[in-house]
Amino acid sequence: MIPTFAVVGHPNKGKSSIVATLAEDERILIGPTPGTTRSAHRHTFSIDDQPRYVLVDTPGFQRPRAVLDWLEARAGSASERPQLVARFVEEHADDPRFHDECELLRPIIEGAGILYVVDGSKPYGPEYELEMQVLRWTGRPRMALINLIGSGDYVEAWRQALDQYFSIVRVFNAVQADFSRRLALLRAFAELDENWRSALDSAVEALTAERRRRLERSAAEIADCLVACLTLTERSALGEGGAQQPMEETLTRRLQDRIRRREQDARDRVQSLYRHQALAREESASDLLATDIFTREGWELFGLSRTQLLVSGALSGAVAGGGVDVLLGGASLLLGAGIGALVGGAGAWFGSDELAKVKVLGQRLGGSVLQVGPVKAPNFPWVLLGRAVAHHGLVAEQNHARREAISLALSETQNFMGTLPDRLRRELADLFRKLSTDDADGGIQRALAMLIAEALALENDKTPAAD
Amino acid sequence: MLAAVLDIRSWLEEDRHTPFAERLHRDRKIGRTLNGRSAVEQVLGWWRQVLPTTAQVSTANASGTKVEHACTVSAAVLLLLGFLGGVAVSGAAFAYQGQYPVNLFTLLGVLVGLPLLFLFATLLMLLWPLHGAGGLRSALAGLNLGRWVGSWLDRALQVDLFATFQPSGAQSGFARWQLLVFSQWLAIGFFLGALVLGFLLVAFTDLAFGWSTTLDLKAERVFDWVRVAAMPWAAWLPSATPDLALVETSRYFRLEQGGMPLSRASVLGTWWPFILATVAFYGLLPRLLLMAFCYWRLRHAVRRMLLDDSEVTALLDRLNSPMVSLEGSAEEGELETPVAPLPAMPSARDYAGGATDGDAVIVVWNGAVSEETAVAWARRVLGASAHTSLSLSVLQDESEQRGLLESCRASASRILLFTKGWEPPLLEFMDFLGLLREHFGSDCSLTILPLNLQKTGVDPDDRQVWSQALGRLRDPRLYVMEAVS
Repeated sequence: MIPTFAVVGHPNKGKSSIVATLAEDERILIGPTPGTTRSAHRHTFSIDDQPRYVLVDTPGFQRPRAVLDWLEARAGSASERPQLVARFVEEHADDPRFHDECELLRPIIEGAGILYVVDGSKPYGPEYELEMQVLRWTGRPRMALINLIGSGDYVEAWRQALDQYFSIVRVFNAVQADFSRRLALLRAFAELDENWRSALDSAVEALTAERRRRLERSAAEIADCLVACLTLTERSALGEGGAQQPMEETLTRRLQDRIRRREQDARDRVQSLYRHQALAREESASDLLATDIFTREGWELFGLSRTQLLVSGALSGAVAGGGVDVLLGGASLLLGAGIGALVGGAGAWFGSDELAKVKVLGQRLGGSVLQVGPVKAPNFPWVLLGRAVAHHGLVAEQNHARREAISLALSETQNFMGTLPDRLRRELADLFRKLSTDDADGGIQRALAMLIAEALALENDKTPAAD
Repeated sequence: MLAAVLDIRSWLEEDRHTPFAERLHRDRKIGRTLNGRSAVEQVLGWWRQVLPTTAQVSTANASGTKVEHACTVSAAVLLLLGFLGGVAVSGAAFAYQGQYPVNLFTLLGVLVGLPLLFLFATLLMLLWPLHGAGGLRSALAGLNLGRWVGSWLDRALQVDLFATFQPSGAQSGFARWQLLVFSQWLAIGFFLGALVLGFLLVAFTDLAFGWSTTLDLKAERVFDWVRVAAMPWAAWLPSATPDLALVETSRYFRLEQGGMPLSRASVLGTWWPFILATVAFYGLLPRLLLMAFCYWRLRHAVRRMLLDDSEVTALLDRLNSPMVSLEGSAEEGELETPVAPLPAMPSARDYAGGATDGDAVIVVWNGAVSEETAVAWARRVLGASAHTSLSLSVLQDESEQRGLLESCRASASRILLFTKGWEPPLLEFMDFLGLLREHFGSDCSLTILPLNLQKTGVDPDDRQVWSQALGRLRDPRLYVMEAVS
């Protein structure tokens, strides 16, 4: 039988949030109004259409006292209790008074394990025991999840009460839980019934592989965006005696707009990979992701400092020049590497303030064409990459139960590109250099995607885990 | 394949607007039928399955087919142009007035030497990427007729496929090899034209070939060159291999008076098999080989153009990765129609104005607060003294609750009900309100005081929840009040 878990509890204690988090479904309605969930909804986790486990989001208890009274009034031996609960559901299937109870008990009597959700940020109340007793009557394996919706901390009191009714009690912040905690929770589900272990293990394995794939795909999307943005140009015919300056400004604006759109497009793609299609971005002054890519502030925050650029440029130049030394069998006495370092470093240092090359091209039929771009500023790919990595970090850890807009605060970035390991920075600098030459091919883009995947993984590792 | 590749790329670009989950499901389903095939075969196989189900691809389709068709037509036109060029050039090179033989050095220099030079330049600059030689390469490419055709095709088809030497990865590779293919068609046409005209001239006119030089060049040395040049076909085409006697006889000087004797002229005509064989072997054959190589590379470039496209790599991911599906039916049933929230009491002070001593019953529900605190609060804040206070909870069954209510005067004019504001009102709480109404009657005012954890005014969100839920009862004497301290 496919492991099935009914997520039950008091209304408004985060049942749907837990399901949304575990099912990665941002469409699940989550709201402060009791009764947001009106009927049981099954969320099947499957691998290639082979179901591995099922989560059932249920409405909350509304009349646990009445249910328990009904059960106790007909109580026989302990072994008959599950049948009695089934009878209750059967007899009250059409009774609007017990609609919610029937909805939540039905999957349980059909064999689901119980995930009982409480809010650990609010005090424990003895009235909850009625629900716990009803659940105990079902005889199904039970786990309690202490969700933390607010800022209070009553976890210990809850734990003491829950320990008496549930074999496993876990704290799980549905809104803040990162990926590793979600996996840990899934593994804990297996403790409810040994027969469920293999299905849940394969689910964990598939989720981990899927996570890796998403990261690699995101890296490919970011690499694609980088290559596109680094090769974009804007051209326009320059009439005889036409003023170059205004045209240059117009073309520069158009180029910048195209780059902005391409960046947004890449962000949308990354969000879509993580099933965050509806994710909004906070458009506030404090949000660094909203910072325009072509502002000095944005460049300082996401790019490399001038010194870091100099070092990366020099290292990359040295590697290229070193190739000449190798070709000459060392006869050049490392002159190639030295000259390469000088040229690379100087290019990075002196070119760091220039955005895009402006060219006036001749036309066969007379007149000329003004071309702005591609962007040659050495810091530009770093800024783009820094922004993309920061965005990915937020999206990858954004919980599907969390409905607020994503926002990047200053303390969270602190010039991430500058913290990359030297080796990775040097290799990236080398690829950025190659991308700006005529020798770029698909192989460079693939190599870039691999390095970006490495950077994304590093950034993810740095993301502080939420409680 | 080019048409399919272009169509797939443009279709996938449009397909981005399809919801991700839908794409995932569609592609993985197809992907499972394509297991074990190469990446290109998988994509093409996927395309064959997707194509019939999508009516909207017709416009995208047309562009791929159009480009492929345009490439074929361009190649044919270039072949024809090359042929005409070959005829024209060889017509000039074979020009024979009957006074002096056609100079073999000039003839072979024009028909074989120069083309070979172009060939070497092509190989050097286009096949072998010289770092830092971009300018020279661009200049040479600018002379390439194939590139002109490419630019024209870009404009005519409104695509950006043949703009070569742009750092755009696989597409630049495709452009490079496609333009090289175009160039080879032109060159092949040229040599075919030269060979055909040469053969026709040989067949229908008298030609004499000789060699002439100012240098002190011995016939033996020239013979050595000729022998080496003819080596590839000497074994199976001896008539196309001149001997030393022919080479010696073929030398001429323009100062020779009286022209050549007819017997010598007929001997000089026997060079033609060697000439045609040389043009075929050193002109046509390398171009045929280069074209085969270019086609092979072009095929590879088209595959790379397909596989390097980010949408295609994403598609391959979707085809090959097990589909981890986590979604379910998220559509909730009809939510209850929102009702107007209960009118709140303006403030506790206003309420206090109408209070009368000893007319209030204070009820504490589910242990929200101690009875003493509730009574003290009512007295302090509302100026209301309770004639009865009692604690009730859901832990008591209905008969117990009724028993406790019996102890209260049924004629009480107001009830203050303290409850936990952080817990939402359940239907069992509504049942309890019904019990209170049953006992105290419908004229009695019933004021609910949801508390927060500090036992004071409830959070605005919670108050909204309470107000909304209680509003559904449509009880005109029911209020929600802020328990302001």
